[in-house]
Amino acid sequence: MTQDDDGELMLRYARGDMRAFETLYGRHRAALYRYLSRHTRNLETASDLFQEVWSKVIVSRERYEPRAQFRTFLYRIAHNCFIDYCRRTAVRHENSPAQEEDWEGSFPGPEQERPDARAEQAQMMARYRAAIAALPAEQRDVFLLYEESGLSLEEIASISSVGMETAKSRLRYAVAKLRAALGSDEPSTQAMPFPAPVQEPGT
Amino acid sequence: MSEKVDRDEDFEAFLRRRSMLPGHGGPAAADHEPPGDLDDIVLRKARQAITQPPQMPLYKAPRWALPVALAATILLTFSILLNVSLNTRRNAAASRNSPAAPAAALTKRAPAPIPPPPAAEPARESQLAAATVTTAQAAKSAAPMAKSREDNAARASESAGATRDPQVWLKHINALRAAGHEVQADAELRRFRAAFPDYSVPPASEPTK
Repeated sequence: MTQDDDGELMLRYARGDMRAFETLYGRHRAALYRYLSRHTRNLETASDLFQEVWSKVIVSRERYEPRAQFRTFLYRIAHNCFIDYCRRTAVRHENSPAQEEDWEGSFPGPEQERPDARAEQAQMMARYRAAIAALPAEQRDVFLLYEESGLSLEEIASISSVGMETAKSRLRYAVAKLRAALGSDEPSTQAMPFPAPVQEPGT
Repeated sequence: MSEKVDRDEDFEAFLRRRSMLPGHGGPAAADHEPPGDLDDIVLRKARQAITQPPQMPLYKAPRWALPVALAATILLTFSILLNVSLNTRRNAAASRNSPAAPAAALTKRAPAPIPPPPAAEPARESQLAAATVTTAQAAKSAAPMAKSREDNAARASESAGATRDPQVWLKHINALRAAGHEVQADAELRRFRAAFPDYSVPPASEPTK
């Protein structure tokens, strides 16, 4: 069964096939969780959003129509859930020490058994996450969608409600900044929040 | 210039690999996965959603129920109005055609008549005249009371006049005149004429000039 069968799996689940959902869930659970946890940098919040996203997928099974890729459908929900979360909490992504500790301790590497390798990888991951957190929110969103979801730039542009060139430009800037941050010894740790929702005139 | 080319190459490399981390196969190797209890929660929700029957309302009316109910209501209302209207017209026509209708209508409208006093027989009339003569003096002394009693009697005789025998009534008037009660006799005569306007009163019953 290939990725192209995601839509069919969703349709089968809507008809009551639980195995189809398990397959679908198994395919996307890790990437979706990473997308949310990197965005929120808080595992508890990421878990809540993860549940919320899948709950919406479950509820919308009857209305689902495989017009686009299932991944597009899934990450559109995830993107919207994260935006809603930011608006609800007016979140500013300053990392508290407890969150950092939680974050650091939750990434077992493949060479975890070697202390020096583990320390090296932990250091690199810390810089990497800090660099992602320092990205402007729109660039971070496009970058995480591209890295985690496997969606094309066109699909990411559709999810983010921007043009494809805008999405590509954001991604290019994000990659350049991450490259620069990973190359330097002192990664930036200041998080860039998602912009507050723009108030419509007259509201 | 070469820096820009390097940046473009980096970007193209990222687009191919979808990962910024050197030495890693991709994003899946770089981070972690959701905990097992989170998987359990999601899968349980998904299973419940398809195993639990959808909550149905206690009674769901079929689609045709509303229009049928509306049509039935309109039909019932129309038939009731039509029935009431037809009955009203029928009653009106029946009352116009019936000969006793005006009387019935009059009976309905007017209050029930007071039963008339029993018609005085000739013997009783003479007794009454005698009694009147013997009590004339007493009546004079008690004039105010007599007056009120007279009025009451007049009202009673007025109401009874419609059913009284005119000849008997005239005899009574004549007896009053013979006894010298001209005022009473005149009052009785007025009531008589009101009750029987077409009856020709004999001169004996007329007031003396």
